[in-house]
Amino acid sequence: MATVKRGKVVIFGAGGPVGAATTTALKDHYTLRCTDAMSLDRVVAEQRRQSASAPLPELLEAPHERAVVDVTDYQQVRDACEGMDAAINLTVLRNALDKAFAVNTVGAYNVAKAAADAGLKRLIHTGPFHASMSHSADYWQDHQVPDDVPMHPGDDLYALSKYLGGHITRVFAEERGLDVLTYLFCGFRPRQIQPDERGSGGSSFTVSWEDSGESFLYGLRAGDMPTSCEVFFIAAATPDRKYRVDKARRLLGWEAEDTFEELYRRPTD
Amino acid sequence: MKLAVTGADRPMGAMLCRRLTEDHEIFPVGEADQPGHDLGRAGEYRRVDLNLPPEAAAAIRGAHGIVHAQPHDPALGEGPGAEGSLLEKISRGTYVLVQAAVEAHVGRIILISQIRLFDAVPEQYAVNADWQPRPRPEAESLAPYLAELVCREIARVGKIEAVNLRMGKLEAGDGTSADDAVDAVQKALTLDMAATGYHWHELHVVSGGRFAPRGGE
Repeated sequence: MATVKRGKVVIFGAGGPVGAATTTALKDHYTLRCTDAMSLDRVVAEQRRQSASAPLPELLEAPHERAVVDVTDYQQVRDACEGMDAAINLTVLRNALDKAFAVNTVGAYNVAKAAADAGLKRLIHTGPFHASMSHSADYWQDHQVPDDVPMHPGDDLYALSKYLGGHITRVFAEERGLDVLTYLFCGFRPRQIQPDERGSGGSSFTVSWEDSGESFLYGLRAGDMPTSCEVFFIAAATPDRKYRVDKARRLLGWEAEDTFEELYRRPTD
Repeated sequence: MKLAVTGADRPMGAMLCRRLTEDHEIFPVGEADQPGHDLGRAGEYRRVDLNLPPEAAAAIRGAHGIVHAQPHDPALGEGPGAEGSLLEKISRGTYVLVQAAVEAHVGRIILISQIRLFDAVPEQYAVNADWQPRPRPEAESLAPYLAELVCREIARVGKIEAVNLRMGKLEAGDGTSADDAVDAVQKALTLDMAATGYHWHELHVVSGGRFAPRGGE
């Protein structure tokens, strides 16, 4: 049984905004080992926000732990997985050639291998779904795009290096019996809609920071999956119907609370 | 044709350098200080770190095509970081090489990958190049698969033409003979890709054993 209803969870990439939202969502349900390549204390002290509205991580007290872990170093990752029940990999490096493959591809290998070697019950891997890649092989002109559609990253460094990491994680799921949920994200925004945003439209593949964090609580608690590697769009249901988001509802029991209806409706005043 | 051949310091790449000189001008490229193999009448061996764009660009300068044999049989180093290093070398190195080729307007890259990507398929099946590869969750097995994915995805968006030739161990009983390997590369260089309608094409090139074609195929 891959369900993780309680116990210990290691988060890789806890210093980023999704890591911050995830920590907040999980802290009262699990004992967390929050890790990042940079100390979380420094992330907070230096107010290293990804964007103006992005959350910073909470600095949790014991029994939670925080540690500096470089996912490109297998032994550090393996040590971080020791004694855990599940792992969440939120690490990403977008546009630097000297680190992108190391973090997004090799890091995924190290996390999947360590999770399998440590006998973890579940790994939640994450990556981007690039809605628009500016080439004819993307799905920008389609509608009702499902979670399991094969991605076509083209030559985009970020998309391609994460794409490889996703394939590596799938191979570990299929060949070593590791239970993997892969969450795909595109856009994030604050829960709060400002008055001047009403009716201005919104991204068709977006989720609030808060909902993104909650999705991991549902992922850990979800029951056995149809296959050892299931992919989910983590996005709000938007009225344009470009992307299907029903799989997460069916298999995880999660759906975004924030649907940003006010962004899409014509203002009444 | 002027061809840059990577993996010239490994058995498959070195053999291709040596044999392809009969019809082409060869630029041998490897990561070792010395090739360690007979490269015949191939041009001067170049030690190149394909992870670095300037080195990759210099290595293929003047080439009309690239034979990327490095992913076929890369050397796994020693030490705790060897697996990660191998995966990064092949994934990033292939990305940088293809980007350099696109930049230099090289029309086609021939990738030499591994037939062992199908070892996990039960023996009763007749596997062909349309099947999904099934690498083991180990760096040596994943490395050629990652090279395939990089080439395929960049070719898919029309940046370059790529032909993927999956071969077995050179001259092994269940592997690929030198003659078959050279013949396949020669055909891949002149394959009419426009007629296929795709920028990516795959073939299995195996001379014996379970993955070899049956008579008449």
